[in-house]
Amino acid sequence: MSRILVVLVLMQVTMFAIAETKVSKEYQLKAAYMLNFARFIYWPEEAFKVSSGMFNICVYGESPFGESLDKLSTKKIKNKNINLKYTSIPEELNECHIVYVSISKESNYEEEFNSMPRMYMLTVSDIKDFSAKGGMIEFIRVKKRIKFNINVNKSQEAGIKYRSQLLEVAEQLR
Amino acid sequence: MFRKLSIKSKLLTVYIVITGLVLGTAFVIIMSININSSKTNIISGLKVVGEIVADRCAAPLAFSDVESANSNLRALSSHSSIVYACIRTTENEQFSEYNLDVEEVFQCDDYNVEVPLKINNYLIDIYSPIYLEGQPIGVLQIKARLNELTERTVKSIKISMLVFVGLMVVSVVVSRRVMDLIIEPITKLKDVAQNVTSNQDYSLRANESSNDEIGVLVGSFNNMLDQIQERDNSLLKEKEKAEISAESARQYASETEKINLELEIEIRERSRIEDELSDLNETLEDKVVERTAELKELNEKIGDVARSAGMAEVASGVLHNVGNVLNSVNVSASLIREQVRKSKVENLSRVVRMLDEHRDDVPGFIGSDEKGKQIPKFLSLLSDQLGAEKKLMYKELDDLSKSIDHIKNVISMQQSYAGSVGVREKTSLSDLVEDALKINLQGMQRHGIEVVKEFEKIPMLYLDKHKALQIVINLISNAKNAIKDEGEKDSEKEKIITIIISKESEQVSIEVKDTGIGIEPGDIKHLFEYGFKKRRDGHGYGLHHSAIVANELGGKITVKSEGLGKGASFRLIMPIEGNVEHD
Repeated sequence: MSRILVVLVLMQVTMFAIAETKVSKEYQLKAAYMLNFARFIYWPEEAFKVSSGMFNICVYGESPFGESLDKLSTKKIKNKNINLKYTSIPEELNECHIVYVSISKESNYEEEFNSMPRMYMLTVSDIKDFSAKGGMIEFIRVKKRIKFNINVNKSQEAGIKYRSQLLEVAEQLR
Repeated sequence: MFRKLSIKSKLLTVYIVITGLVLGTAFVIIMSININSSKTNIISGLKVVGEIVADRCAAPLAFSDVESANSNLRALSSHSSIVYACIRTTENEQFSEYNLDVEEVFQCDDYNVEVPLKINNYLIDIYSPIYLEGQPIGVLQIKARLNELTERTVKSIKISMLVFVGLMVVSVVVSRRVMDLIIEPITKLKDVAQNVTSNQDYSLRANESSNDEIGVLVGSFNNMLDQIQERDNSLLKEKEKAEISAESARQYASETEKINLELEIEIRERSRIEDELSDLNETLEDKVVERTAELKELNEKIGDVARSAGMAEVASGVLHNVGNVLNSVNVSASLIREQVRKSKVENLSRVVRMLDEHRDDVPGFIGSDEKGKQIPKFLSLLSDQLGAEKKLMYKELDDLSKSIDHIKNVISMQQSYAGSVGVREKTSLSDLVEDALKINLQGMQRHGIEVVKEFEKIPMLYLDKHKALQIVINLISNAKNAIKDEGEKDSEKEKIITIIISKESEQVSIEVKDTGIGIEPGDIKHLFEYGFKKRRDGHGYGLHHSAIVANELGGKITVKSEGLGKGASFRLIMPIEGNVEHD
């Protein structure tokens, strides 16, 4: 009996470990996608005035990325160095070019973002129907693959213009 | 083979070969350019397609959207030559693949952005990098068949061949027509020429149609025929004439025969006369020989006269000299006589007489008598005078003796030369010259002529001494006279006779050079002629005779003068050969 219990416990542990790696692989990919989104967007120079020439990527709320984003931060976007910021205070998002909205902020992100509309800030999230509720890019899953929806209108309001190739790859456009 | 062809066939062959070569070369060049440019076009077209598709695959690759990538690759099927396409990531993972060929299965090559394309037989691989923000994130490989190129090439070769054949046919047809135009007159001309030769009909004419070279040829041919016909006609006439004249010639011939016979008789007569003439001629030749002999004799006589004249000259030189010496002898003799006449010897006899009177007391007479006291003083004075007289007389007697010796010498010398006529004996040229000078010595001294001798040392020669002497005396005497004559004109002028004895390789020469009156250039060639004389008292055969004598000695006399007043130089030249002493 106890032997079965031990086996069960071990299986539990293994399963957990597998789940853990799965999560981190998914977010590694998503982290890479976030950088690639930036690459398929026409950024005007004006967008970098507030950030003194840096490209700011911010994680709002609890970060699911682990260290994946930190690993990518040595790269460059539009020939600009990447600056990472993890925060839960909406006022600190002013200088961000990409804001990943964590699921932990699902309940109150709409109000916060609508109350402080900002130009050249791309919002990305895993939150369901994010693109329909004022967000711009929403990660979804299609047949075990990571895809995304884009709210083009909302993006245009914030001065964000996508390259057509990105739109072709998107699952849904609004 | 080619030579046997007609002109037309030759021209046509040449034309076809040249046209074929030109057209063929042109087609080959155009074809190769065409194929090359087709290849370039196909490759650059594939490259452009590759770049476009690679650009469109950037987003699918960035967001791992294999479907989008596949659909992009599928779009390549519109391009008929493309058989395969694939995408590899920078990590060398195959991302997407599309195969259009049903017969063959291809593999995606490893990631590579260094080589833009590979050509393998009929397959070409084009590698287009996929960039995201300037960084390569993968590479698109497109594989295409070059069938299209082959098809295009075959098609263009077919068209070219068709065009080639067509052009050749057209050009041959056209050129045949043109050649007919050119060759027709030649053919006609040939026919006419054949007719003329086979039928001997010179009235035929070729048609003249054009103004080109063939036209000119036809014209000339017709002209030629005109001339031949004309000549033919005139030949016929001439033939007739010739027949007539042949007849008359035959008549003439018989007449000529007659005349010939007469002529033969005449010739015989003439040859008889010629024989007679030839006889006369022979007598004439005999007469000429006779006269020549007479002339020769006469010449010899003249030679003898000249020779005796030469000898006379020597003799007159000798006599002249002897006369001069005799003059000195006379002077010396009168001086001695005068001296003897004036001699103080008589005074001595007076003293002797005085002493004889006082024979008894000589010492007393000398010691006490006034006159006797004077005697020793007187004797001493007398002794001095007599001593002086004796000295003077000795001197005069010496001179006398010398003069007589000289006469003796001259005479014996003359005798020695006179005796040696025609005899060759060992002779020293310098002695010979010295002898000749001796004979002329008095004359030279009288005219104050200086003699310079430049004698080279030469061996003794075997010579007819007398003859040689005659010549040298004559030359020296001439030189002396020339200087004398010049001296009458210009007394200030130097008076030098230079005598040079020298030896050249095969001959010896005695040169007598003077500073005398000189010779006019025009006179030089007459100098040796018989009777030519310039001096009033000359006899005119001195040099003539000398020249003959020199010739007898086997030598010659040459003369040089720069003109009147510039002196002259005569040279007796004798060969060494035959004259030199052989031991």
